[in-house]
Amino acid sequence: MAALRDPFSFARLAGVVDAEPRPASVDHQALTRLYEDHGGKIHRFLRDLLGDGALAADATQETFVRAYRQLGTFREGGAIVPWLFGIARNVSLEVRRARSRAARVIAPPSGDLPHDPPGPGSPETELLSREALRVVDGALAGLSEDRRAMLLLRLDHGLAYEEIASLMGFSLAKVKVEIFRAREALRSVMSAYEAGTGEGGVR
Amino acid sequence: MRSCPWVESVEELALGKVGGSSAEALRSHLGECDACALAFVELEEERALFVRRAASAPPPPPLVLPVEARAIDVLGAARRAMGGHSTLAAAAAILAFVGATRLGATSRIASSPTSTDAATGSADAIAADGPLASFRPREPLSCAKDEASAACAVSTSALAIAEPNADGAPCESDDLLMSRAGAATCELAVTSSTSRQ
Repeated sequence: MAALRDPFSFARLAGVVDAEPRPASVDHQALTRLYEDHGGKIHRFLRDLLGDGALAADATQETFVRAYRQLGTFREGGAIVPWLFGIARNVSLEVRRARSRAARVIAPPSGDLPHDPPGPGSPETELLSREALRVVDGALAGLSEDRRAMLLLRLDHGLAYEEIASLMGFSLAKVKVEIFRAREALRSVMSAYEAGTGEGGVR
Repeated sequence: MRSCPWVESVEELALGKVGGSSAEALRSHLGECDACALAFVELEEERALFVRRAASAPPPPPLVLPVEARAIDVLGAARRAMGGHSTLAAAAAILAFVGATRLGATSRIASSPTSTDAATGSADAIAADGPLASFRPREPLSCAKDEASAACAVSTSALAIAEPNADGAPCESDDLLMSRAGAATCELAVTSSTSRQ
């Protein structure tokens, strides 16, 4: 267990410890800060991959517990965000496998992802906004899991192609092609939606 | 795929990852290259959708600290409390921690924040109020040896081990200290049971 070998290295990684490490609670601070900084995006990513809020919550916790335990696998000088996303993706794959083994009925990913559009606006605007987000959810649900993960990592989380290739274990060329196709699929669905809504009307 | 070699840099610009003079250069390129201009507009629109989507996503659940983090905290506190007796501190911390774990007080991730809170009750109490907070003695400590044998009647604690006796003299018996570490485990067990009820 890396954390037990060097209880303060995790803290240093998260930038909590300055010159002198303080015993006890430092690791808690480090982990907590890491969670505050990245918990939201990891949770959103897992929610998009798993399509289930409760599973995503568990998987988010598991991701950070593993990050804590697998600190030894983190390369010095590496970027922590892609590393966290890599762990999150592995967790999501395991959750999916476990769910398949349990032979439970899987709802379409968009079914459990209610989105409340932010900001004020007219009821019509809000309705359109909500519907547009539902359309995006539907488009994402129509993608294969790998393709969806790559698209989300690129468009939602802004990772570089190289980072995505590294964390997904694919070649750079494959990642570029997959993201290109995923974006085409997304644009196609959005275009159909916009054509259907016409001049601000609702389908 | 698009032909312009700048297109990936333009994507980075649309994702907000390029700034300064590079951004200016790319923006001037957009005025000259239709492929890049189209790529930029498309990506900006897509990005805007995801930003809106992200803003409406629910917040993540509260973090449940992993077992090791709690153990390190307990060990650190015990070491501080015991001064030079670091081996004893480790023993006390391990005993206390194993006691808590056996009672299910430390976590495996639960299925919801609510159930997680319930499953990790006493361990959370430790983290919430500082390490070993739940070990604080309820009665003044004395150095009588028969106290140690009354382990699960528990009126001693791991924290109390480092404190002087009622008469102010430090307790020097390592055997007794170890026995009291065991007693501390029992106290944690009692605390855990109580908090889980």
